[in-house]
Amino acid sequence: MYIIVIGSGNSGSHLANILSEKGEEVVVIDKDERNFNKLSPSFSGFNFTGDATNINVLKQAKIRQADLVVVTTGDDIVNSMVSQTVKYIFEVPKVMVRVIDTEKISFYDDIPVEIFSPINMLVDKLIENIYENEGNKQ
Amino acid sequence: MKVILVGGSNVAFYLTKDLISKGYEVTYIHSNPELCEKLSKQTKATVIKGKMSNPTIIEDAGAYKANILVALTSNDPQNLFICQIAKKKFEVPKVLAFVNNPDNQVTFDKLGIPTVFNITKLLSILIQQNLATEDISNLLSIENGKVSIYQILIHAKAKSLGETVKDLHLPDKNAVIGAILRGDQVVIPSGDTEIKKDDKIIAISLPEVQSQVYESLIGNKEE
Repeated sequence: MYIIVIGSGNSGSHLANILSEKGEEVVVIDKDERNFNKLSPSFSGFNFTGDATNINVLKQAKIRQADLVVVTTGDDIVNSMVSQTVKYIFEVPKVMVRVIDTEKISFYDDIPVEIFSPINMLVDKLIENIYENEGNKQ
Repeated sequence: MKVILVGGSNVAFYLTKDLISKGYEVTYIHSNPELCEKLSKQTKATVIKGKMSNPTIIEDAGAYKANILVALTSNDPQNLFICQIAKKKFEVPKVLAFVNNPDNQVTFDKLGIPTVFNITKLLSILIQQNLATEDISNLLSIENGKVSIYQILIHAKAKSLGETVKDLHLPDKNAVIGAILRGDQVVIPSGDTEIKKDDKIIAISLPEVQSQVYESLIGNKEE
C-alpha cells in the first residue's frame, strides 16, 4: 500500500515506523523537519517538509496515488482541513484522522473519514478493563 | 441584521464601525483581551473574549440567530473550521472566510465556503519575495475581490524589460495585460508589444495569481 502519514509527532512517527517495517510504502509529511528525528533508522519511506493544509504540498507528495492517508497532527483544526482536502479534493479511498478534543467529534458526522479519538479509546479500554476485573471477582 | 465577526484586528475594527453605522448588530469574538477591550470601548459591538474556534463560544455569540458570520483570523484552517461549524451546526445563512494564503482558495471553493481575499497578506508575501511593492498600485477589486485590476511600474531591473507580451510568463488563462501607459500614450498591447522601462502595465487577473503576475513582470532578473 502507498500510505501517507501527515504529522510526524509521537503517534504519527511511531505509526510510520511500524508501517514501514511491515513493508508498506510510507511518506511522512510534517511542517517541522526536526520532527523527522522521531523516525527510526530502519524507516525506509520518505519524509517531506511542508504544510499539509496547502494543496501544493499534498500534490508533491503524490497524494492522488495514496491508498490510505492518516491525518495525525497535534492540531484538530489543521486535521479537519487536511482530512477534508484529502477526501473531497484528492478523493483518497481511505482517510483516517485523529481527533484530540472530543467535542470536535461531531464535526465529522457527515464527512466520510474514519475518526480516532485517543481519549475515547483510552476510556473504552479502561471501562473494559474495570468491568472485566469485576467479572473475574464474581 | 445580525453579524458575527470572528478574529481579525484592524479589518475587524473598521468593519465593525462600518456595519454598526449601517444599522447592523455586530458581535465580535477574539481571544486577545487587548483587542476585545479596544473594540468594546470604541464601538457599540457586543464583544466576547474567548477561543475563536470553540463552537460553544460561537454559540454564545448568538450563532443561531445570526444572519452572517465572517471569519477573519490569520489562520486559514481556523477560518474554514469556524465557517463550517457556523454553516453546519448553527445554520447561519451566510458565511464568509478570509483567505490568507492564496493557495488555499481552491480548498475553500471546493468545500463550499465563500471567501474574500486578504490583500494585506498578499503584500506580505510580496515583501517576502523581495519585490518592490512601491511599484504596484491596486486600482480596483471587483465582485468582492473576485477580479483585481492593478498597475505595475516597470523599473530598470524588471524581468520583463525588453520582452514582448507573448513571451511573458503570465499564469495561464487567469491573467491578461489590459493596457500599457507609456508616457502620455495608452498602448493596447498585442502579442508583439515590447515592454519598456517606465511602462505602467495595467493587469487584470484573479487575485490568487496576482503574485505570479508581479513575479513575471517585475521579479528581478536572474543574475
